[in-house]
Amino acid sequence: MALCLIACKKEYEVIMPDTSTWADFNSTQTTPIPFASRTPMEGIYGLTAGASTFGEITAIKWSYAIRGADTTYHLSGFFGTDIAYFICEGKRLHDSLLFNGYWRKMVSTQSGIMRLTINPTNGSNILLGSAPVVDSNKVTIAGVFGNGNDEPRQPISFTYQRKLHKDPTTFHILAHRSGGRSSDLLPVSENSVAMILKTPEFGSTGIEIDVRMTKDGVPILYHDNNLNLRLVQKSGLIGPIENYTYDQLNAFVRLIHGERIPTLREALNAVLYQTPLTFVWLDTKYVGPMDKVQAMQTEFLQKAAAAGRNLQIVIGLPTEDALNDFLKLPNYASTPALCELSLDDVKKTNAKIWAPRFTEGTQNANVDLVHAQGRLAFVWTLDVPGFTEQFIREGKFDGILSNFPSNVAFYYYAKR
Amino acid sequence: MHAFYHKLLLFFLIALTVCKPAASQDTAFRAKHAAIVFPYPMIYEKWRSSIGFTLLTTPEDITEEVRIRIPCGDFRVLRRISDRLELDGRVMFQILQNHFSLGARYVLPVSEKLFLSAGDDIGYWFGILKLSGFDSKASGWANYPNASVGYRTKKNLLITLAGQVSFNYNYQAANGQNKFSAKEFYYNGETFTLALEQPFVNKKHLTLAVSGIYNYFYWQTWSLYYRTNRKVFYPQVTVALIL
Repeated sequence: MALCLIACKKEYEVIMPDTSTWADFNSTQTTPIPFASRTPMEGIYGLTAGASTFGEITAIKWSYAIRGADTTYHLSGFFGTDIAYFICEGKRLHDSLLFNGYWRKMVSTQSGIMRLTINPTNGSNILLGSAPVVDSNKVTIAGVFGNGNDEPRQPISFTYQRKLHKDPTTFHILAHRSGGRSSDLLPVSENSVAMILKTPEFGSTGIEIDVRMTKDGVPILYHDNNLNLRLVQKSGLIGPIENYTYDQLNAFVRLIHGERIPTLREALNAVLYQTPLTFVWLDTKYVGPMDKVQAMQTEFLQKAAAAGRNLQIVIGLPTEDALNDFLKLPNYASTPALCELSLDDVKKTNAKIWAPRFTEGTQNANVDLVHAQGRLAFVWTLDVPGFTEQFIREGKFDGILSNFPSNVAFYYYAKR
Repeated sequence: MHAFYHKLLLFFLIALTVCKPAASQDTAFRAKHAAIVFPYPMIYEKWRSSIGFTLLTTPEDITEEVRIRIPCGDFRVLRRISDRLELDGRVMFQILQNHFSLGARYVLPVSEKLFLSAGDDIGYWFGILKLSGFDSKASGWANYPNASVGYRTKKNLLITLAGQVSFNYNYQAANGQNKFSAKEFYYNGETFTLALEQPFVNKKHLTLAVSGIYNYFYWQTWSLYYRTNRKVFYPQVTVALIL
């Protein structure tokens, strides 16, 4: 009986609802939403229905991802209650705009279908105009939401109030492990290309990814020291990931949602050519020479410049070992880096960014010191909503790393 | 789901009030040094206590490769109020974090071998962590309605099956100068325990228990994470010497 007691372990998952059943959205008469209509829609909206579930306001933002020949645009809404968000695709049906997708609360396993519409009397005529400008109370997005795969019937509506907040300097919303952890029950695996393509929908403007080396020196993305069932499906391989070549990992190992372990090159390619992300934090999880990672960083920074993309890539220094390996690089002083250690270590490495843990508070005095040196300051890994709100309101950090980028996005964009 | 546990506790309370108690007590059986978890009435003594430790395994899918297994000291004391009513106090101490609880439990002997109890405890925990990279502290309150069934074997081996639900409220945390508090009162989960109490050495008795804790938040892991998005399973072992 004791064994039964301690062996009981329920497996949890979040239902990804089937959103393919909305007849209007599937109509052959729909067309893409015009490019010019999207950005003016972004803003802070006040809820007039559904507030008891989602809170009083929502921050609405567009993102995109390129998969093959297709570019998919997503409309995301970030709420302040229960780290909730919705993610929808949009289409135009005659004079109305339709949005079809799902909602999720990150504090639980709740999710459901979300269907939204902007019709001509609620502002679609403004958005479909030649040079749309949205003023307060001129656009209302209304629809229904449901639970799980149930047909959505609960009303939700929100009306435009104001623009999204924007700091004079760039604020980085950074997603931990490219979008979140396995334990967050997201539909794709942490540190995967699939997650990189999905993370802009969560409000991320940048990502942190964990870099390790295979036995044959291929930089890959993987967090833990060992192959384990938290991150990968059962295979014949066990033990430290550094014990295997890339070909072995590629042949035998799949992440928990079926993806391959990506190489760093694949990940940076995805960021640069398939997403609007502007920041990549390469968290160094291996001990050893950094020249290969540095070379790849240089290569992709050059490619980004050539493509006219605003993209920063920094080598993360989380430990003394990583710092010492970094200092062995011949041109370390001009290599963009992020240092998690002391302010002296930041100076020693000439790191662009200082990134302390959030557990020492906002540290405004130290952040001012860092800014005076021409550097930036990030903080990690901030997940408690109350602290996220405080750090954005009272802190001076230039970026926040979180497993819940949608929560950071909400408090940043809703800031007054 | 927590409505189910409310009903279960209500059942126990009703059972305790309507069940006819055992016609006679076993006067030869001295429970003072034999039972702390087992719901035996405190007829012959005012105090019972035990000292020991618990050992918890943190859930791999949450704490990942940081698998913490630090023993937690466990001191428990019972104080007789009446034949069937006891005050139940417990201190769980782990230096960086500690937990206190105080409550009452009502014990009913159904027969010479079968015993029931129902009770409710109020708990308070706090943690402080000031090391490199941490300037953190947190605290919170909890409420633990509980019930148990005890069976005494022929050889005075005491077997107890206990159930407890927990409600958390008034969570407070500070990191550096930043403070956060959540006044929300929420259902946190349940704990099931199977305990054996038996003779050990030199007439001392031992409590051995295994527990399955299913919580959204467990106080021992306050520094690692806040509430999780689903109830997480923590297996725990308890070993205590009944004083």
